[in-house]
Amino acid sequence: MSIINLWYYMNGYIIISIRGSRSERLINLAINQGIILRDIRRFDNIAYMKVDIEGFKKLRPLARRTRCRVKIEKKAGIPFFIYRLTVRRGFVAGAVLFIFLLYLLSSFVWFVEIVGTEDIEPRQVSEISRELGLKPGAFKNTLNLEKISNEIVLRISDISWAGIEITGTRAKVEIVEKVKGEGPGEKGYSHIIASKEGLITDIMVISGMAEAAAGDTVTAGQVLISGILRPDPPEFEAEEEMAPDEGSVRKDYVRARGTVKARVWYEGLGVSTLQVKKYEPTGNYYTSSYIKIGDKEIFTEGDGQNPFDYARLNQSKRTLRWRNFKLPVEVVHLQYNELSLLQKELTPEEALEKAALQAEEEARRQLSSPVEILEEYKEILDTEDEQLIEVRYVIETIEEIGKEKPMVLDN
Amino acid sequence: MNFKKNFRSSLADAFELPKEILLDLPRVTLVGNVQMYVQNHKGVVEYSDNVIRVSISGGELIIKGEDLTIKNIYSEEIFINGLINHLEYAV
Repeated sequence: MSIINLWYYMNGYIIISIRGSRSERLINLAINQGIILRDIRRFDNIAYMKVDIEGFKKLRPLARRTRCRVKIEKKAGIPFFIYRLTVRRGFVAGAVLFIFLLYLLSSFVWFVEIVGTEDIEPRQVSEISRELGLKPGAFKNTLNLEKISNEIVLRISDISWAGIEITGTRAKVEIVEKVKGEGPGEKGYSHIIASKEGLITDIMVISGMAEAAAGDTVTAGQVLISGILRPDPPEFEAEEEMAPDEGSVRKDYVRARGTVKARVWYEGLGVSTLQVKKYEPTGNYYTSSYIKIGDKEIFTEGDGQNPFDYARLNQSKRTLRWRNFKLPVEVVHLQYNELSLLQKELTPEEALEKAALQAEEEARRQLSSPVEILEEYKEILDTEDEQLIEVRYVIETIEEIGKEKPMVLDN
Repeated sequence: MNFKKNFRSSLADAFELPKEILLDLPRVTLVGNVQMYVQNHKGVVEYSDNVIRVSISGGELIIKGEDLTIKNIYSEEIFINGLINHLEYAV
């Protein structure tokens, strides 16, 4: 649409048809009167043209004079459109109401989303923001986002920064949690406990009290270096005598530090029988498909039954969905691939090798990567069954087993 | 009359004046065969889809073609759109 057409549209125009053989004369008369006619075309004996509103008024007496019949075919343009709107008031009111409602509803917050929380429950943040006024249904303009985000940071001590961003009707609360510092000087007492079972070979205490000594066998979770400093027993007695009214002795708490090295064993068990069953695909397959509507199954191909003795079933489903709405109709395609059973006899040596390999793999899987391996050995276990061979594989390592565990204090 | 016209023509030649003004001639502009623009016409004589006859001083301009439309018409100017096949100057 060019600019000039837009101009015509704004001023309004009428498409008229003129019947009569002397329409040339009417056109010439109209031009002399200063009436602007556009897009004049003639089919058979009817001429069609466009004329503006003022021109149409002037055209009427001329048409009478030339004995032409002028008929309005179409009225187009903004003046006619406005006139039609004044007639259809209900429609206009509805349109205005719609725009108003759209604006009104989009000026509320409808969704509150909390992102960035790791240890803090998102619900805790959403409850606080709800108290501060940021909740579904809150008016966007009345929210003081800066104040709310500052308040969230103040209320929850583990948050170091909070930012609120409103996009459309969605408020996104971005939380940055405090990284818990564990450097010296940080408040927080802890023990060092064993992370796994082992035999302690070496223990070195930097702070705290050793609870285990080299040569001790410890279980996972046992305290190795305590963060509670108790006075030595002789002093303890003396102190008790000196201050019997105090009830309990004074304890000092520290963050226990030190290294604990231990021998750790990793075991893997491998089992093998002399007869091995093996399935191999033969290449034959049988396909079947059906449409599932609710609980009903309508087969379009085959009957869905497995015709083979041994088969592996491949099932693929296709569901119809539109956005999050899932139609209860699915197309299921089944394919049974036939398998043949191969019985294989193993020699005792082969079976042993297989069991040993399996055991070793299992043992190695348990290793945490950078450890010092001291010794590896395997042993064949006695089983009553001759067909069954069991192998145990042991890896012995020396590694650091100490793990820091924060202490929970009552006061 | 003839003498008057000759005089004007030679006057226009002598002073390099546009002839359409002095001689009351139409000025016809063609854009390919799709658009035509006639200035200084004297009215439409006949028009239809295939033929438009425009009256000019001392004759008629006959335009033949297909889908001919008078795009705009004013007292001095006329715009014609459509496929123009044939243009004839009838005196």
